[in-house]
Amino acid sequence: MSKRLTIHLFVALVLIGFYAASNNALLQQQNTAGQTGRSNSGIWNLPPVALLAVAGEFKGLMADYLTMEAGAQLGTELARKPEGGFRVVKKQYDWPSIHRIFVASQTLDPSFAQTYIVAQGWLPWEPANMVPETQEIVKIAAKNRPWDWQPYHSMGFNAYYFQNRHGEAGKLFLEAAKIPNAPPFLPILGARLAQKGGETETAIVIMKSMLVDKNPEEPGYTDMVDRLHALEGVLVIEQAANSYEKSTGRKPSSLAELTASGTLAAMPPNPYNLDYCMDAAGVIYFDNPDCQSSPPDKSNQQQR
Amino acid sequence: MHVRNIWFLALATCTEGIRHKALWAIVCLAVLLTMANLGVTTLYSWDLGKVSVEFGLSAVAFTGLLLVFFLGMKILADDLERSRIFMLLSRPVSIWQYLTGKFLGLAMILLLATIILGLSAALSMHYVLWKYPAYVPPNFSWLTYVMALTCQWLSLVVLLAMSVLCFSFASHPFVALLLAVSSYLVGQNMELLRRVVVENPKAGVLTGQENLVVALSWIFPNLSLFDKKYAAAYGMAFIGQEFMLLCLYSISYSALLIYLSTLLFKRKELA
Repeated sequence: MSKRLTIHLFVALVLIGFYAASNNALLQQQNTAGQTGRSNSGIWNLPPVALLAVAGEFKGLMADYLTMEAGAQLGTELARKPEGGFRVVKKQYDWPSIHRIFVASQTLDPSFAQTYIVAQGWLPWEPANMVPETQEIVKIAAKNRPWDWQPYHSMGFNAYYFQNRHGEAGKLFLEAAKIPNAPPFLPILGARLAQKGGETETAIVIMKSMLVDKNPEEPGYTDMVDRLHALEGVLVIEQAANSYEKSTGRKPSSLAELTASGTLAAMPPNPYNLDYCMDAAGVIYFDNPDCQSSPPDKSNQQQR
Repeated sequence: MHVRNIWFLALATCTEGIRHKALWAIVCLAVLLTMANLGVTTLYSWDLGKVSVEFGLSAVAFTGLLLVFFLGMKILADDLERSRIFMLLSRPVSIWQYLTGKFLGLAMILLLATIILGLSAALSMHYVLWKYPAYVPPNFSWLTYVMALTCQWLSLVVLLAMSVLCFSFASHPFVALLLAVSSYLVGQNMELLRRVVVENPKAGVLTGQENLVVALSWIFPNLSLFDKKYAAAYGMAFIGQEFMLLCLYSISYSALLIYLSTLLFKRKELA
C-alpha cells in the first residue's frame, strides 16, 4: 500500500469518525429535547403578520404542514425497547404551544376543516381544558365555512357540555340547522335547549326564519312546526308569568294561578297534547307534565 | 419586419429553453411533486379535495419560480457570457425587439410548463376527488381551477418581466437574480404590508409612512392578487371581471417593465 493511499485512508477515517460522533450526539440531544419541548420552537410562534409574510403564496400548503405537525405532536409516540418491540412513551403535552399551532394554521387557512376538527377533538377535553380557546377556533371556522354546519354544531356542543350554557348551545344548534344539509334533528334539539336556557323568543325567531325556506313536503317539517307552536305556547306563559310577577311582586307557584288570577285567559294549545308545567325555578316545560315532582334543572337556575 | 424579428427570437428562445436540460430536470421534479400529491393527500382526514388542489397548484407555482429564476435568468445571461448578443444586435434587430423576443420566448416556456404541470396536477386531483367524493369542496369547479392556473401563469409572467428589468441594469447575472428574488418576496407581501400600515395605527417604524407604502405598492407588482389557490381549493366564487382585470394588469405591467428594460439596457455596458 502506498504512503499516499495510507494518508488518504487515515484522513478519511478521522473525518468519518468526527462526523459520526457529532451526528450521533446531535441526534441524541434532539431526541431528549423532542420529549420535553418539541413544540416550544417553530414557525407557529411567529406573530400572524410575520407568518403570513413568510408563507407568501404557499399559505395553504403551510397550513397543511402545521396541522400535520399538530397531529404528530398529539399522536402516540412509540420508542423501541432494547429487548425488541415498542413501548408507548408517556408524553408531556405543551398545550399552549399546541394551541398556537392550531391558531397559526387557521391564520394561514381559516377554512381548513382539519384544523378545527382536530382542535375540537383535543383542546376542550381533559387535560388541556381549553374550552374558550377552542370556541374561538371553531368560531373562525364557522365564519369561513358557510357551507358547513359542523363548526356551529361543535360550538353548541361545547357550550352545552363544557360550559353548561343551554341557551347559548340551543342558539348555536339552531344556527347550524340553518345551513343546507344539516341533519334534521338539529332544529328540534336547538329549540329545546334554547328554550331551556331562557332563550324562547330567540328560538322562535330562528325557527320561523328556518321554516320560511323549507318545503312543507320535506321530512321533519311537521316536527319543526309542532316544536314552533309548543315554543310559542311557552312564550305566552312566560310573558304571563312575568306580568304576574310585576303586578303581585312574586312568581306564580303554579300555572293554575295564572289562569285563576286572570293574567292568562286560558292555557295555549300544546301540539304534543300534554299539559304545560312550571318547575320550582319558574322554567316552563311543554314536554314534561310532571316537572314539579322532578328536581329543578340546576343549570337553568344558574342562568336565569 | 418588427413582428417577424420578435417572433423569430421568441421561437428561438423557446426552442433553446426546451432543449435545455434544466427545463426537463424541473419538469421531472414537478411530475414527482404531482405524484407526491396522491401520497400527501391521504395523510389528511378531512378536506382531502382542498389539500389536493392546493398541493397541485403550489407545485405549479414552485416549479414556475424555479423556471423564472434559474432557467430564465440563465438563458438571458448566456447570451451575454457567450457573446451571442453581439451577433444578434449586429443584425437588424433592435434592443427592444431583442428583449421583447426573449421575454415572449421565456413566457412561452412558462406557458408550456404551466400547461404540462397543470394537466399533471389535474390528473392527480381528479383521482383524489373521484376516490374521496365526500371531500370534494362544495361548488368546486374545473373552470375556477383553470382560471387559478392561468392567474398563476400571469403572475409568473409579471415576475419574468421583473427579472428582465433586473437583468437589464444589473452589473452581473447573480445580482440580477438576487434583485429578482427580492422583488418576488416584496411583491408577494406588498398587499399585506399596505394593509398593515394603512389599517393599523401602530405599525412600528412604518407608522406615519402610509404614503410611502402606498407609493411602493404602486411600484412593485402586487403578486398576491394573482394567488387564487384558496378560491380554487374551496370552490369559491371567482368572477370573470376580476379575471379580466388581472389579465389586463399582468399585460400592462409586464409591457411597462419591458419598455423600461429597453431604456436601461441601452445604457448597459455590454463589452
